[in-house]
Amino acid sequence: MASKSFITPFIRHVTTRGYAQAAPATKRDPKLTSCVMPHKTFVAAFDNGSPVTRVTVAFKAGSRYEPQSELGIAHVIRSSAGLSTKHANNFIMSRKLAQIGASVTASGDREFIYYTLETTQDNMSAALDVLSNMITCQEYRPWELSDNEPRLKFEIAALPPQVRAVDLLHRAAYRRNLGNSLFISPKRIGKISSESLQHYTGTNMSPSRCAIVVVGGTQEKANMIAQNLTIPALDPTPSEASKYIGGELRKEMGGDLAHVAIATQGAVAGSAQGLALAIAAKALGNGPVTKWGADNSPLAKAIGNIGPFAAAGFNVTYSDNGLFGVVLSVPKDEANAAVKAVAGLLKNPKLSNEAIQAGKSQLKLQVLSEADEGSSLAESIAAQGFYTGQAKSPADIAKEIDAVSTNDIASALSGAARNKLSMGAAGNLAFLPYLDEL
Amino acid sequence: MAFRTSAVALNNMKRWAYKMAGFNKYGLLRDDCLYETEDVTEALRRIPQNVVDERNFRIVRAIQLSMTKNILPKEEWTKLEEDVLYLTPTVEQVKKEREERENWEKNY
Repeated sequence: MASKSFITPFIRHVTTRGYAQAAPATKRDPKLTSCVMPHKTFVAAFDNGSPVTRVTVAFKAGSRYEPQSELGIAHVIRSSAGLSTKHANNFIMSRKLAQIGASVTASGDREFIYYTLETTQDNMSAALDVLSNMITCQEYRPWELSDNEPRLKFEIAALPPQVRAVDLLHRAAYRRNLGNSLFISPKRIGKISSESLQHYTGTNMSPSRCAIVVVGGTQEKANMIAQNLTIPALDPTPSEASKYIGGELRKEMGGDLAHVAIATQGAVAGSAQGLALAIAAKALGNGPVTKWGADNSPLAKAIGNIGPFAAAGFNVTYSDNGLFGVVLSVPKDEANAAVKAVAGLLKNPKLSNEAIQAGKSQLKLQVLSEADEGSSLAESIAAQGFYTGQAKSPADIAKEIDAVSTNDIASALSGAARNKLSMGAAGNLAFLPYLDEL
Repeated sequence: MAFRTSAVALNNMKRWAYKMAGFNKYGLLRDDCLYETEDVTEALRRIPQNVVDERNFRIVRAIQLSMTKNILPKEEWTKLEEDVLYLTPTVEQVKKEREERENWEKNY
């Protein structure tokens, strides 16, 4: 009995010490490096000492590059990531990744498509083989594409109405290129052929339209990945510049709520105005901060006491354009008052110093907490590389946010307020005013 | 010389066996006579629709002929030279994929 009581704490002491020391004890400052390869691929590495490595390979092949006759093709490409390639079929690729505990996801926005690999450091090379195979040798076999159709249908059916409203807003604001929907239209499912997918990837996925980002690895490793990824080089395809036109699109879907996205033309990605407007969007408000609490944001104050509603400022920036505005969901009967109030606020924006300060803090929190989640960090670094040709670490972005002055924000806001409004709406639109009635 | 003779003999034998099988009198091709296993069903899904339509036509015609105890006129019989294996390569591919899958399940 005595011996037992002696042994247990001793062993526990040793094991806990051992485990504690097994964790990486060296504290390194995360370092962001980037370069451009000879074939114009942007390569960046964020060495944060994480045991998990994230590799993002991004291409300028988002929905804005879709030809008008093949709308929705970008959605099909993202959803068919992982289908059979020249060298391996989909079963083997997914099992190989599962065997080493790696995962590959494909995501996309209006500008880019991102293929992101997550794996532990020691299984890196095996996982990279699969990733590069998946990206460069895809075959788009017709029967696999038709097997994938139910998934596309589900993705569309599962879209929240707010997302539809924002999608309609883009279409109203830009009509073509940036206005192309992120999602395939239900009527076009099954109509996009294997040949047109091959042609689209062939013309848009070239080394000069590619960015490779490694989070949790060194620059040398990133360069090596870039060299090993053999993407056929092509003549650069001229891309159409987007033009803000403005307008409104409504989709009557029934229900009790009206979901509305209203915006004016914002700023270009990577610009000072873009950052100022991002702060302003946060300052406008993002719903109540405490659960069941009162919403004290400038947006909520402008809308007033109309019963339950949700409203948030939003700001998106693209390579040559941007949108700044508000997304809101209101009960159908209150839509008239609420939308008029929001439009008034966007046309004549006034933000107090306190609101701007809160906006800055909230934006910093968002930037830094997204940086903790490695995959989204890798994707955002890739996007920065495309937009500006260089990448900034999250800490640097936080410093820049601090440095934005109230005057900058006020001038960016008044600049945005001079532009025409656009509106996208989905849900029950019985009492929703039209754009010219605002 | 010996090789040539044996090749000719083999070819003749093939031709004889093809005739003896008799399905050519119904206008069928070799690939029309495959047992519809799971592999074959999957392969049928993968080949172009017009090829499947032609296959179905030949099969329906053969059933009709068989029911009426008839055969096609001799000039419409399929010949070994014209008998293209339109399905076998796809079936082989499907089979390979299935075996790859089964091996993986066995080993991991």
